[in-house]
Amino acid sequence: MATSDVGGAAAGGAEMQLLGAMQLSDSMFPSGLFATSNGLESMFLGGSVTSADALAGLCRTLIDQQVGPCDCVMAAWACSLAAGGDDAGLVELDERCSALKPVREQREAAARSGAQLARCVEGFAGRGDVLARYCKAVSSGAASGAYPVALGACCGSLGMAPGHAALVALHGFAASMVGAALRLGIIHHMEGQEIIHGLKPRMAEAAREAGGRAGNGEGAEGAWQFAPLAEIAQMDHERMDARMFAA
Amino acid sequence: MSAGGGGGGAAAEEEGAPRRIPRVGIGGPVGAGKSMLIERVVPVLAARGYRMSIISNDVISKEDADRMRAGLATDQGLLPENLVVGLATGGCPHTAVREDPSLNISVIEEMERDHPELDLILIESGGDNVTTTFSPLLADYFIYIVDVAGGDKYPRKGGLGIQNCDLLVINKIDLAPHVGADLGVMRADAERVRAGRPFAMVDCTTDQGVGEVAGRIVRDLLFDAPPRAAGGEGGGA
Repeated sequence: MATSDVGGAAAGGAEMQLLGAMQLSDSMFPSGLFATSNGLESMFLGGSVTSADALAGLCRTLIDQQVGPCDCVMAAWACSLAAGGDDAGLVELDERCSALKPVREQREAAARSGAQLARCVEGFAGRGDVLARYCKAVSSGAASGAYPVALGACCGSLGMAPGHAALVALHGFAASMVGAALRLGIIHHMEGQEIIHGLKPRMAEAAREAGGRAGNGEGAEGAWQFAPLAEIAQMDHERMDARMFAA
Repeated sequence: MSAGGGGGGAAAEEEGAPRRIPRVGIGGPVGAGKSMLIERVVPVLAARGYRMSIISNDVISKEDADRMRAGLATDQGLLPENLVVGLATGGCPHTAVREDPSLNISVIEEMERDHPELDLILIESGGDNVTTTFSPLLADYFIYIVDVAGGDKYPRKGGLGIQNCDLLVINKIDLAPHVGADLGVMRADAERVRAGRPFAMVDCTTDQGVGEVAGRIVRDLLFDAPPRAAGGEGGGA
C-alpha cells in the first residue's frame, strides 16, 4: 500500500508512531470522550453496574461484542485507507460505521467526537493530505465523522499501523469508561487502573485481529456488533431527564 | 481576550466555512446567577434587534436549559426553542469549556451552519471555582460572575476568572445588607484586582446593572455593529 500520502510522522519511525498513539489516546486530547459513558450512567442508576467487578465485566462484554468487532475493525481499516490516500473509501466506511450504531445518542456523540478529533489532527499534521479531504467531507455533510473512522484516519495520517489504531480506540474506550465510573462513584482511582490493566490481554487480542484483517486487505465488510442489553441501557440514557453524561 | 479572535485554526480558515458567530462565555460558581443574568440580558439585546442562541453546560444537563427555554423562548418568544441547548458535561464543566471544548464547538458549528442569521451565541458554564476560564477557540468574550452572598472577600481573592475575564459581574448586590457584605469593599477590591478592566455591580431581580452588561457585549464584542436583521454585518467575527 502506498504511503506517499501519509503525514510526516511516518518518516520518524517507531518512536514517532508510539508518540502519535500516546497523543491520540491521552485523556487530555480534545475529542469530547470525557463526556460519554457508553450507557454506564443509566446502568449505574438502574442498579445493574454498581461495583468494580460489574464494571470490568461490562467493559469485557463491550470489547468482545461492540468495540472489538466493530470500532476496532473500522479504525484499523480507516487507518489503511488513509495510508493509501483513499478519502472516498473513508467516506464510504464512515457511512457503514454510522449504520452499525443504531442508538441515536451514541451515533451522534461518536460523530461529534470524531469530527472534532479529525479537525484537530488535520490542523497540526494533516493539511493537504487525505485527512484534510476527509474533514472536508465531514464539513460538507458527505460524511458524519464517525469516531472509529475518524480516529483511524488520524492514525493513518500520523503514519501509524492499523493494529495500533485499533489499540488507540480500545484504550480510549477503556479510559473513558473508567473515567465515567470514577465520576459516578462506582470505583476509586486504584480500581480504575486495575480494570484497565486487566483488560489489556483482551484489548491486545482485539487489536491483533482488527490489524490482521486490515493488513490482509479484508476491509470492514465483516464488522459487526451485538450487545442488546447495553444498547437498551444506552437508549434509556437518551430519555433521562437529569444526567451527567452526553451519552 | 480579543473580541472575534479566538484562534479559529483550520476550522475557521476553511474555504466556504460558515461565518463565525461572536460568542460570549459566561462562567462562575454554582448559584452565582449565570442563568438569571442570561434571562435578564437576552430581553435587552433582543429589544435592540439582536438574535441569539444559548448553550448551557451543566453537570445535570436539563435544569438550566429547560428553564431558559421556557422563559425566553416559549413564554417570551425571544428566540426559537431549539436554539436553547443543554449540554451534559460528564461532571466536568471546566473541561467542556477549557481543556476540551470539542462538544461545545460541535454544537456551535451546527448553529453556525443552520442559523447564519444569529448575531450572538451565549455559552453558560457551571464551573464552580475561581480559576474557570474559556478556551479562546470557544468564546470571544468572557464574563465571570460572582455573587455577594458568597462573601465580600470574593473579588479580593482573585483567580483567573475574576482577574482575567473581559467583564466581572458582581451579582445579587441587593443581598449585601442581609449577608453582612460591604459593597464598598467589593468595589474597591474589584478595581484593584482588575487593574482597570471593567466590572459591573448587578441586581438581576431589579435589572440594576443589566443594561450595562448588555451594553458592554454590544460595544466590546460586537463593536456596536447593528443587528444582522437590520442589515448589519455582525460584529466580532
